[in-house]
Amino acid sequence: MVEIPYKKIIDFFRGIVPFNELPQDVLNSLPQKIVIDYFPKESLILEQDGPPCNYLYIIQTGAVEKAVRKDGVDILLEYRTEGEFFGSASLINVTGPAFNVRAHEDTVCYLLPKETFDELMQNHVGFHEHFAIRVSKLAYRLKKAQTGIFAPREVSDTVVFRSDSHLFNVTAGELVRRKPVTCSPYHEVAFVAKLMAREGVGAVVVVDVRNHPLGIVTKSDMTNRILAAGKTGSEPIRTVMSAPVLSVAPWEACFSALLKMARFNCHHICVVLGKLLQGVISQHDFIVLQGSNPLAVMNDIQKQTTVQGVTRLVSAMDRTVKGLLSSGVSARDIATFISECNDRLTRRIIALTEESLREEGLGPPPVPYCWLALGSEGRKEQTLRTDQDNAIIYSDPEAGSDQDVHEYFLRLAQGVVSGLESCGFPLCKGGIMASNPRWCQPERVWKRYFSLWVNKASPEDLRNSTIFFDFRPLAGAAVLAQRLRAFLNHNIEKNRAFLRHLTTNALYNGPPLGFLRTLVVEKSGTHKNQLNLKMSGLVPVVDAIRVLSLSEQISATNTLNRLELITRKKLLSRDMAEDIKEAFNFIMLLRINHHMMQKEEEIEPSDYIDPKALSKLQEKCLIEAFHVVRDLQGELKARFPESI
Amino acid sequence: MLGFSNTGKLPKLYARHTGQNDMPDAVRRQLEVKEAYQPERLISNTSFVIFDTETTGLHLERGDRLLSLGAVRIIAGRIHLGDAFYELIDPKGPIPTPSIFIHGITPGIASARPHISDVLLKFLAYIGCDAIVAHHASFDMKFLNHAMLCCFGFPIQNRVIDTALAAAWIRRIEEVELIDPESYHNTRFDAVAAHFGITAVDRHTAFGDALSTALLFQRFINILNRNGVKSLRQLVRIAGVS
Repeated sequence: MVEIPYKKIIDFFRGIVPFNELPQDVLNSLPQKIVIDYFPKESLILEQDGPPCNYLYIIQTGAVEKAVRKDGVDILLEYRTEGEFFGSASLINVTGPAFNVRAHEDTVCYLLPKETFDELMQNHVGFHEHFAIRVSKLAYRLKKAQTGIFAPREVSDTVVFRSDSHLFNVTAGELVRRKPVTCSPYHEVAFVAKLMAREGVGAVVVVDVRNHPLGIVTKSDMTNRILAAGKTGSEPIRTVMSAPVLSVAPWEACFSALLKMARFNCHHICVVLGKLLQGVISQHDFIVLQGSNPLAVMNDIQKQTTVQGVTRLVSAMDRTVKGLLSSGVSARDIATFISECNDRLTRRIIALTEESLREEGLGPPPVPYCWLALGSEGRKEQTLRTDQDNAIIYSDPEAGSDQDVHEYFLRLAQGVVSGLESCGFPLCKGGIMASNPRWCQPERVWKRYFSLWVNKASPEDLRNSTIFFDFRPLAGAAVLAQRLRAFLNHNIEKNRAFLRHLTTNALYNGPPLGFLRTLVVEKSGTHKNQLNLKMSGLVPVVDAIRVLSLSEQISATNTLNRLELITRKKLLSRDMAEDIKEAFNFIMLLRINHHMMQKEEEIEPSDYIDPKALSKLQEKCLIEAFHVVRDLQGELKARFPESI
Repeated sequence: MLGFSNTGKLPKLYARHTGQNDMPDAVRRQLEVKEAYQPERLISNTSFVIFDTETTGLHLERGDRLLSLGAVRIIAGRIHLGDAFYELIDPKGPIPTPSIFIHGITPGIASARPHISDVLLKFLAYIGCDAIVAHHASFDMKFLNHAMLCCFGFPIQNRVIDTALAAAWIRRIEEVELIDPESYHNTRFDAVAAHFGITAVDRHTAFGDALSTALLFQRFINILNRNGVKSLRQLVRIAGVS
């Protein structure tokens, strides 16, 4: 027979340490011994404490994850991807695998039989040494994992950060301790009070006949709304309950529940399946679970009486974010937490500034106003403390008082902006801040601005649109912001050509993908061989989703919320939306992680990364993510074809 | 029963064609194939020979012939690289220049190679009674059976499975998008392979293509199993070539 052309396979092995140290004739004889196996995504390849391996597994395509199971929780050790191998420790020690190896995606492996492996170990020193060291390293890592001081970030290939921290591994459903105590909306207050005492609970859920929660009554409602309000025990409970109730699905992580409670300042949240009540979680349950919780940080902000006091809490916030990051939480949750903290901080500073103006004799705000968060803050997508982007809208003052009213709000804005600056929010270089007279205006001026931008759509107008149209009320009279949003939607509807201009703008930045699935990096300059994660990955998604959501008069500003709403309106397929969500999350997480690392090394945070410094899996994920971004831009182009 | 009567005719066909009564062992093995076929055997636990051919062109009737034959065996879902087959064949005729750029087999290389009948003997010995698998198998089988008839007077008796048919079936089940099945032969395998995430090993050598097809078939075994196609009989029904 003709010699079998195994060249490609031999080349593959020659590219792998320590196979590269084997002599050519030994390499040439390897393929004869090899078996190729296929493992579909999520199938278990090696089982912790199962039978010892009979093969060394070398990954041809795909990726696998190694995890140890301890106390019922899987602790991710590392990922192995193309050109890497696993199973060596079990082969060498002839013991059962010390961890589970699972296919992270569809994976094809070359299997090198034990006899061949042993032969190579005996006859080739370099090969032997490599595996001896590898096995001892692995043993060390395993030991660390088992004693619980394992830090996921020490592992080079960790993309998703996980840990056994309870907030992220325990679901809301698991935290439910008992059958919920319920009553009907027509029960008398006195009956419900007795029920609380008998069952020893702090809250009773009011449900209808189908066991769908309608509202909730807590012990403090009993004192505040009944005793303090002078009502009697014969009052029906529905007149005093809080409604509607906050709810969370049983499979959601505790952390999501916690965030919801923080946002609405509630002490209880219902766990519902569909609409059916499953149980109630209270803040107390979290404290028991955690020992401490991020809510404490947020609540501390509320308690501060001076701007200096608020400033001092900033480092505590940073520590919490770092804790969240290293304990495996999604980019969205981190951004939500940061936004929540920043919102509270800003609100507190606004309240304190209003107070000090009052003390100066300027009195209360002369007309209702609303503090607007713009740009990434408006979208709740802040990762670090980025530049301030804010504005003030106030009710149109009575004729003649214009100047005084404008004066007051400028003073307020200056105070808040400098307070934020001292908390570490740098001033906006473009001057997009409420302290800029141009961006501290009454309702009618804002409407004039917006209608001008939509109708004229000059390059500067479009740039403004991308920042200002993501506005969100942060403090004050939200109705002003709502009216402005309605006005904007109406204007865009009247002038759809604006969307085409905005599309052109949104397609300006694109993912840095080259021919043949490679990443394109900067060719020269300070950022040679690097690429900009924000401009090439995040901005195109944010911009595209903004156009689509403005075209449907969606008022949401958060990109993932907008995505959900435009998907419901069938502008994008469900599958595509899922892909975009994952891609966006991945790039975001990579960026947060990058910033945190720069911070630790005390480098000025930048959005440039060197793709070569990423692990193989991260790089692969990034390429996939960029492809999704490109597809999204394609969709946008197809929808507004006259652009470009 | 029909199968056995056919098998019974084979020695007669062989004798009439070659003028000899004595069949070589490899050819005699073909008489056992039909009997050895176990339709209820699980495909996840069967051995298959996955093969590919290179030819001088696409048209048998215009004189195009086999140039090489490559194959690899899958046993119980695993590809055994050591159990492989690769032969170059002397086509005993001109090799059109354009095709040399595809397969790299020049007339010089080819004429140093054995005649088709020797290669067929080796191939029959290699495949034994296993079902054989190829992408667009009817194309390869047309050339193979033409050679079989010329040399031994009857066609290959083994069950033939077509991965292109299997892919089409999977598409109907899982609504996987494949490219237009009417398009050009070479791109077809690439498109299917790309879709199922196969890294083609060494395109356009019979062995490299056979190995790539094996990687594809390996995935199909899994997907088919998931969709209830578990026995050889079921596989032949959806992807068999007669």
